[in-house]
Amino acid sequence: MDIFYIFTFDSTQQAMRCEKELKEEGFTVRIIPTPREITASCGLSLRFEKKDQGIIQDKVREQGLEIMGIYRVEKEGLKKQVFPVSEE
Amino acid sequence: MKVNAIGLPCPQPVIETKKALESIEAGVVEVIVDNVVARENVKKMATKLGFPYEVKEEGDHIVVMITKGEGMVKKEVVESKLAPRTIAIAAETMGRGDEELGRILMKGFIYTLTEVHPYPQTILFYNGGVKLACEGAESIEDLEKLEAAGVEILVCGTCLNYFSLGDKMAVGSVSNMYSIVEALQETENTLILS
Repeated sequence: MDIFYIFTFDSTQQAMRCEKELKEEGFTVRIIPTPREITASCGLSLRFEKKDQGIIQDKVREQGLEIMGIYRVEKEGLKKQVFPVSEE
Repeated sequence: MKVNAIGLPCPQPVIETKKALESIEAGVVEVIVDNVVARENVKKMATKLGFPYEVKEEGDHIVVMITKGEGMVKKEVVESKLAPRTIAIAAETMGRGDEELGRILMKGFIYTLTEVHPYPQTILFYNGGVKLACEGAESIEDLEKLEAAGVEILVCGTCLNYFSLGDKMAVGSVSNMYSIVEALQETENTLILS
């Protein structure tokens, strides 16, 4: 099973800016289309590693960006389950 | 039957080999090439046609011996879960309007391909699209996943060369206009992203 974590954003620009800045700082993040299971208007999410959640959250806040939601995605083949996660 | 493909530019060795194979009912075609890319392309074509081959080195040259047997027919698509579809990716960006957004969309497109079944039979990369299959591209892991599932990933050699990315390709196999034209014509439908 593939497990990963994502932040969702309410604007495409914010998601893109967030990815760019975090990458420049050396974090392993990537933008992916928001899974259908999550209702989000922007459609882009930032995929990150669980161990980085706390520090990334702080960075994102420093950047003045707003995280709409945090989720854990569990993927088994093409089946996907999404669980909301609380902020650290 | 012998095909002397020494000094012939890509994709000529493959074209000449194919002609030779088509001209005989059954038998062995010996193809003499002088570089590794030509060898790989000839081997790949033999595999695609379902003909066994042997490779031997003779001095500076490489000989690929392909055996065409009677009644051997082109292998059908083995992976039945693949759709008879080719997706051609002609640019690093998806659509026009904004470069950066286009890049994000293209990466998202390739990522989402891994999540939607059936997978396409072939994905072609040409022009700026080849950058997505080269070292450092974020789409590599997605493309590797697709390739592992049987999707054929073809990357335009002319384009890699043009962008000086000849040794940077990280997934798929180098292809030429010959295989690009074939892939575009052989599948029932083609989707071109640019």
